[in-house]
Amino acid sequence: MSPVEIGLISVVAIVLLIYAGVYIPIALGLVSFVGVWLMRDNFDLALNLLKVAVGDSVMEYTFATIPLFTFMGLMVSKAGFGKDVYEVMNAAFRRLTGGIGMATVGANAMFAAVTGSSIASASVFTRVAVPEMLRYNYNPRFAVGVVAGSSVLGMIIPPSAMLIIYSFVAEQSVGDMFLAGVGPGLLLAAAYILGIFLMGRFTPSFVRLTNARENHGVDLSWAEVASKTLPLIGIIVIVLGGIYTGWLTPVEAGAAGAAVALLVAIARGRMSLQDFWQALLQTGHITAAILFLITAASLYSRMLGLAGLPMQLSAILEANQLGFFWVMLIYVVLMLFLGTLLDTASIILIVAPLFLPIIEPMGLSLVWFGIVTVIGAEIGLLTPPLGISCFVIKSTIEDPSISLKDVFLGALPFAFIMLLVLILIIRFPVISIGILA
Amino acid sequence: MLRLSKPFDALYRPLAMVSRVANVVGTLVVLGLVVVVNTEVIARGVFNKPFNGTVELVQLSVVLIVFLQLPDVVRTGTLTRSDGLLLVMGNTNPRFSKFLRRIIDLASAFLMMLIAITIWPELIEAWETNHFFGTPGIFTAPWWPVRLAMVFSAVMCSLLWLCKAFGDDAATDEITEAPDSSTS
Repeated sequence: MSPVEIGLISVVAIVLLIYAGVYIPIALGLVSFVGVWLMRDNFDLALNLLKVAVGDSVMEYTFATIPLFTFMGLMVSKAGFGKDVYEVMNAAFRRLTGGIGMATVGANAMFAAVTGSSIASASVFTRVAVPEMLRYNYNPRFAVGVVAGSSVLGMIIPPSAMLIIYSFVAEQSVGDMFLAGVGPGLLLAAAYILGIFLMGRFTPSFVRLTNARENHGVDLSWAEVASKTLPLIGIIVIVLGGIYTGWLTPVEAGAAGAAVALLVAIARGRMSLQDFWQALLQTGHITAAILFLITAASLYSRMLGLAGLPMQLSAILEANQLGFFWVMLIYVVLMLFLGTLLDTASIILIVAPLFLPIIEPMGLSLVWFGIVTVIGAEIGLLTPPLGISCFVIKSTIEDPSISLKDVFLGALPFAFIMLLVLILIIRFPVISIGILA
Repeated sequence: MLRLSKPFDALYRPLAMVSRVANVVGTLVVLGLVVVVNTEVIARGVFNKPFNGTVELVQLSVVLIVFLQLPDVVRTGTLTRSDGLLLVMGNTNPRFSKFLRRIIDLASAFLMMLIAITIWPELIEAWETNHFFGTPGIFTAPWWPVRLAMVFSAVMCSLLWLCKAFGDDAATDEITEAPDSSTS
């Protein structure tokens, strides 16, 4: 067998093994190891590659962004700031049909700017926003759909674990990736709100079960609004402002954000010693899991390089005169397909190394490509059978009458809106990388 | 399996204890990381006195966090995987699902053993030659604690997975709640 064939079989084997339930870093590591061994018929070379991948790849300064931003996000979630922002947004949108839905999106967008995880967003807002919507006779499917749809904002609006993971795979600056995520995240949030407005106008029965006037939420005084939002705004300004002005590196921004989040949580009396320790423990677990995954992925991309698979792929594309449009179409369809089988991080780690060597010579921005990759892979969070956001919502929700199927069906319009926004972002790169100019 | 599982169950308890202790140490390193980076930001921004060596300390702490906590991630079964199929199979064919889980754990143990074997000579070399990383004259740290953490972690993960593959206690000690990892 030629190296290219072995490489191709390895990629398929990794996808199948992950689907069968093999730990993702183990699937990446083991198959890559065997792949290199067979390709070169040299066991020692494969061992050596393993040594280099594990031994050297973790010694990276910017890896510290992962524990720091994870810790910051956990502090903010445990201190109940998601609920605060939600109450403010709810007051702002209180007179519109579907207003609670729009408030959920708005609150998620803001919450996303201080957490890097869709899982955190999904579980917080399932607890806060879904009961509120059900109380006002919203369609249960719509209620869970909004939460699922807007939870993906957590991964697109910086800080985001997925943007960090991509930045390692593509060797791009974490700071650039973060800044490029701002525009697309806001655009997606705005598209969701517009979508909810249109659904309320044209398919009101999908949104609410009654036509009675909704008058949800309570008016808040400006002092209350300030006390509920200023801490988060402060953290956002420190983190993104610090990175944008170049005053802080992403690592320092993460550390400063984590410290401020901790101080605010303590000042509010919302952090017990127990919570604090749990957050630290969880941070370590998440860091270890993500960085081990990245280590295994670096072994995988070395294996791909040895197999010459990316070069083969670009030769095929060139021979068939496939330009920008077809490359992007193939890429997005591939990600949507994998999104039904794999989780977001695996999709990014498996697909991006294959396409990066094709995208770069085309003169396209790898930062822009990263945003496309993350959003494309995130659509999978909302689609069956493995939409993880939907699973989290189902497992957090207390109402047994809402089935997993309801969550997926409710999330479907939002997955569609995501796809439309993705197309816009592909067509108009300025949405993402304009901020860097 | 009954006779075979015994030694692994006996081995599991001390292993779980060690992984918990390493986890606590790694957790303290997370706290240290927050403190060190903030100290540097304040020292540089407010007092205009940057602290040399922060970069090396940060690198070192990331390595320690990852490798000290990885065994506990393995112990609690929270390493990233998509277990949709395993869960579905657990309902329809629980015996096969369990068997598949054991096979997966065995394969994982094998990979970690390979990692331990390949890093081991590096540890010996780092210990004997006393190699340093960082910028000489400004801040340097020895390599051997890094290598030691890696070998320790790989051996621990390998043994824990062996216990899960062959023992009965380890397999039941997993946290079965929703994934806490933010990798999705």
